[in-house]
Amino acid sequence: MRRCFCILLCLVLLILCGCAAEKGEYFVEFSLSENLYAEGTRISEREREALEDEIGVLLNKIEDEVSTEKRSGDVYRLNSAEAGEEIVVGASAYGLLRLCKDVYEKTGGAFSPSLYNLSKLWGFTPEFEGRYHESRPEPSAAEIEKALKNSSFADIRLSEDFTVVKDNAETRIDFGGIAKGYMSDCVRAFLEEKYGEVSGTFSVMSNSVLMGEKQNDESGLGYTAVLENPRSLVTGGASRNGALYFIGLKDVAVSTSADNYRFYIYDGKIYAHIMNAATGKPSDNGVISVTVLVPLKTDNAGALADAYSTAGFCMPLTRSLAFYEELWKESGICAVVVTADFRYYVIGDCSVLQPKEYAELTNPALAESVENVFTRAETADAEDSVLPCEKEEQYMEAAAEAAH
Amino acid sequence: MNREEKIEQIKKKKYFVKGDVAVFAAALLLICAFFLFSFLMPEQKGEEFAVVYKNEEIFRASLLTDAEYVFYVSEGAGRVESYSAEKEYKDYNRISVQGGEVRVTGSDCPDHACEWQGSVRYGDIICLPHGLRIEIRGKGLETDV
Repeated sequence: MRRCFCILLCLVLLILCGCAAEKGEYFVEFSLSENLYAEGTRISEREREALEDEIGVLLNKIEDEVSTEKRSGDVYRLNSAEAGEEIVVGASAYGLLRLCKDVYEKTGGAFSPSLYNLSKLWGFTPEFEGRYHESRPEPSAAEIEKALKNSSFADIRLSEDFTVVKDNAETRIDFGGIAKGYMSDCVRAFLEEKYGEVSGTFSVMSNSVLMGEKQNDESGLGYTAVLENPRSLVTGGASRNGALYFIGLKDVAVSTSADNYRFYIYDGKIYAHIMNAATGKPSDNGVISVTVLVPLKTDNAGALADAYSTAGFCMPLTRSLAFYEELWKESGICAVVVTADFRYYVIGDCSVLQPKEYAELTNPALAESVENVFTRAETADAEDSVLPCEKEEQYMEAAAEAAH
Repeated sequence: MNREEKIEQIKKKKYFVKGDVAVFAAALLLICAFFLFSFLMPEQKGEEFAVVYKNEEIFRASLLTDAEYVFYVSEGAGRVESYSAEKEYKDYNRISVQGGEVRVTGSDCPDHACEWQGSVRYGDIICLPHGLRIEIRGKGLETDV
């Protein structure tokens, strides 16, 4: 009897330990929609829940490989390697590095996965969690220059056989700008391998994938997506979380980079977590949010959406808009760029609605009480110098207050 | 009308003259209008509530599931978790969600104003001594992702 009790107690403790460990160790959050269909048949709730668990395990495995924090992971080993040391990495880290090389070249270095030293210097790496919002002065010019010298992606060499060599021992990789998009591609591949043709949606944090066409589409709007309101602290009315709404979507990966997650305010200025590889400082071009929509027919759609949204965030406005224009012509990629003067630019033919317009279509009772936040502007009228508008000043005050 | 005329009217037991009736009618009309306004205006029902401590949202949950939570301050940080009768809390507010409404059912704050507010389905509950605000939020516009 006593033995039974002991075993039972151990089991309960084990289960509890499992819960605690899982929550503390992993950072990436994942959610799978309920309207999930395989070859036209709805996947049952029970099966969907089991799938969520299975995908959770898959994502944790990738996170182990590519996180800067996991001591046994590839990125950690690469980051602590000496110059010239040959490091053999797994498929995820290698695949990501290959993709990064492509995007790095395509964006003229605006996207780079080797900015860990800069992120750390500015206090945005995970060890600063819980303190990201603390107001603090800029690091010195000498410190920035030193971190910048150790942040060149040209110092990372890839060879065909999964081997990576660093030319500078100090250079550190951080896949923060692409990993979640890459994970979303892995989830889609997993679902398609298991079920063939799938329709439904899922999100890996701010990266969403909308597969196939929406089933049971009562409103007839196709898939809809929200562009999160980065200024919800001071704007938005009855629906604060959304600033713009996409309708008529299908077969597309959507990713957003914005300045309202990891940031701090110092001396009336926002310091966001997205680093500008050219200046060594947090990106400061007046862009506050970028959403990129990549058709799923493009290879690595999720990873590209993630990386391209980061890249455009770091470019001067006119260059950013021209870059997305090129992507639109080349591969049908759409983008929405929001700036600190509360304007937004749409590149490509996606349907972007204001909150009031979207409310009229989906929930007319709210049309009066929701608030349009940003004003549409034409790309031809864009200028590189973006002056923060009055609302932006209000936001900075409110955000500084909240952080205090 | 001058004083004498008014006294004359009162003597005749005519307390209301035309002008008085007009004023009362206007007041009555306004009362009716406000009454109708407050009842007929579509009221946005809350679907979620958020617990805000020192201006920072620390917790959010649905109003559609009945549950008991507790807010407490530990080492200067506000926390919210499921309420447990066995545990002892300091600087706490017990938050109860029932039938889509939220109320504070117990607290060790000095004034207990939060408890006096009773059950609410929209608006805020505030506990000044603990720096706590419970905000009810509509979900707003919904999308697939």
